[in-house]
Amino acid sequence: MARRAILTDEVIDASLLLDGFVEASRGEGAVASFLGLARSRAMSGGDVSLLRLERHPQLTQLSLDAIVSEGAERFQLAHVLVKHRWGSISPGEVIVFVATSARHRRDALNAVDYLMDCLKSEAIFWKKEEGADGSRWIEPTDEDRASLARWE
Amino acid sequence: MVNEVRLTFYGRLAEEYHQADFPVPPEGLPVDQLRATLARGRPSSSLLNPRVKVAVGGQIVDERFQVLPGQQVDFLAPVSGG
Repeated sequence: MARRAILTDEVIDASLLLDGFVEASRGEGAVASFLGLARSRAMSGGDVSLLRLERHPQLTQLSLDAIVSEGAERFQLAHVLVKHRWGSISPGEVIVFVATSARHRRDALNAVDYLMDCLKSEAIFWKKEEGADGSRWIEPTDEDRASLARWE
Repeated sequence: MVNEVRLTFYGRLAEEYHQADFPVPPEGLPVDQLRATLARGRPSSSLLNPRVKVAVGGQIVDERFQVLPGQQVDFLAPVSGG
């Protein structure tokens, strides 16, 4: 079983990642994937020109590794890949790529949902949206916390 | 040798604190005292938020941890998530 959590400050090519993941998952029953994209409008309605994701030199990778391991164990995954970007991200660009494979579709699909809920609340990043109206720090919402609580 | 720790502030804390070094006694200082000393005179300091975690040498530590001269101390604002 391959479990990989990759942290990068480069543009993520989701198509290339998915092609490679499907090839590696040959023989499994199901592959599921998700892309998180940088928004062009803030939740408040203002335009967003740039998303800045700050990471910690050691702890961010450790937090991704822990989330991937928990997901792989919980859903008995054949393979799992999370690739997460940090740095300055423009609207429309990929922030995070998640892919899972398993014998059955329910495990693959639920694992992607679980991994995203964990990433949204527990991954060690600090996010700031910048736009014409100024900049603002992003914090996990009540919805994010409720989503994570589903899995307890 | 100068008895100092190196400080880095993450997230919104970096907008409030800009120190890169801080003097500590040769025997060190517990995290809670370091936190309180940095926040002295700033009763509304974000540093006093219990959700602000502290890492030393790349590992999260508790408030009783003794920070020693020469160590890297990171103050982590509550995370945004990915």
